[in-house]
Amino acid sequence: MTALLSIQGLELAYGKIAAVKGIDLEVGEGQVVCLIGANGSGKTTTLRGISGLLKPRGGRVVFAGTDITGMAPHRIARLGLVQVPEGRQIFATMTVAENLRMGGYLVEDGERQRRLDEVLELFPRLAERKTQTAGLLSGGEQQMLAMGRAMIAGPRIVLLDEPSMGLSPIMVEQIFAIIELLKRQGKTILLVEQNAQLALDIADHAYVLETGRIRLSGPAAEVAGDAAVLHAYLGG
Amino acid sequence: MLAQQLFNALVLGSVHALFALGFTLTFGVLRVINLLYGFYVAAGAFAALVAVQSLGLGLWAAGAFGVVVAGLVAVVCDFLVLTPLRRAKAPELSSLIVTLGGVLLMNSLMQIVFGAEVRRFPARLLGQDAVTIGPLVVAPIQLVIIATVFVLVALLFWFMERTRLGTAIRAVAERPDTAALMGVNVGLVVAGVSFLSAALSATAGILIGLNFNAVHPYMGEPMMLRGFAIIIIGGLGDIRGALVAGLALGFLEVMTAGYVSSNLKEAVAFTALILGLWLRPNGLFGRASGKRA
Repeated sequence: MTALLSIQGLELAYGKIAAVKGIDLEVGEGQVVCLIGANGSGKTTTLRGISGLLKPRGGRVVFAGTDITGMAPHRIARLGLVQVPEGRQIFATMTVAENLRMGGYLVEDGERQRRLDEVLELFPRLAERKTQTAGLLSGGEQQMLAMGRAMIAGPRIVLLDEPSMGLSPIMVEQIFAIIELLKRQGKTILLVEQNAQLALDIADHAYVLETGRIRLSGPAAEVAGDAAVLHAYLGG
Repeated sequence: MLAQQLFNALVLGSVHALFALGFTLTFGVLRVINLLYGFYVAAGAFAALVAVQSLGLGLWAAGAFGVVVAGLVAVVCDFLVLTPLRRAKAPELSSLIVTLGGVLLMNSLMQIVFGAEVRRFPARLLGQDAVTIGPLVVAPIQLVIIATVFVLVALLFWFMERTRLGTAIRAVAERPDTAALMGVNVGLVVAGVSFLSAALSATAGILIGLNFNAVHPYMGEPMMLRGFAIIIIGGLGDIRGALVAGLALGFLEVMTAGYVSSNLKEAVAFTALILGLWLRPNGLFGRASGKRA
């Protein structure tokens, strides 16, 4: 079986500063794969390189059999690759419902409404605040909105960037319960997290990134057992 | 007398508002201060004039022609001048300076091609005889102006609030990268907004040309001064604010000219701007609650 998303020798840079220095990574259909590492190790940059927001300097990104290296982000989105960006990036001046409909920008009306109802059922908090301006939501609600917005697109793969960032422990638990649910529904997820313990608990496979290079990879349980990881990334 | 003044104010305010809507849209979505915007007033009016005089088109066809020509010119200008600045994430001041150069160049080109003298639309275009309706003396062009602006503003609001593309424009205005991640072709939206805003500017230009029966290369300049005052008072990028502030400025100008002195008309916009910034520095509807384009 070939992977749904396959990255070979990906190199990314901001101007002259190399941020990702040739990494290989694979995500199989229905898998939850996590990419963990310290602040500034290149996790978010990697996602930006995959979704087209940052043009790769070298290497290849292949998604569902299509070479998407250097493709414009809106064309990559059309193939079913959807990113939930770091810091939620919700449209603060729009209502909750408008944000969700924007997520389904490429989906035709009837199907979009059906998925919207599904998402509102999954996130009752959003249903209650449907007509509210999204900028007034709490951080956790904004994260739910960002995830719901991605799901309405009907993605073949979701790239989740730091879903736990800045949230209270209770909120983090709720967000990860939703990721767990998506996993059980068979959704393919590439999860970037600073909270390595949480990410390793939920993932099938894990990659550990250190200053732009893959330091360690393998089944999540094995990576979690590695003392070096525990020491370097879990603070154990 | 007062009824007539109020009616005149409505006509003038409608044109101001229409002009300012496009200006605030450009700023809100494209994140640039585009002084070329004033040029499209004259570009649209001259294109319509040429359509009438050389192509023999009627009022509505010539108007549509002028609007489309100005829109296409804007798409090309923005692509050549503003896209590189946006790509380099240049500060707003650079767009101000670059488009200042642009508008001087374009105005001079217009003067070379069409001459500096004031031109007129032929009288046959509209029945020029004013009619008396109750206490009002109404010129046909005034009714055309009010109807056109009313329909266009209603369409614009419906488009921005209710359609998929309008929502995408607001999304691009707020977070272009995120909009791209949802499948929005940001480059295409930017070109569309360039066209749309210039089309509004050109429509205002054609209506002004018809109303004052004067078309000349620099007719956009006084509008830009008003446009700045209106979009700042209304809140940058806020289309509802631009509408209200545009109507209000038209009202103030007519009332000043009618009851104080017509010499003070030009000072009204700036007095209003200063008061507006003083009393409501975030725009009429504030930053958090405004529907920003």
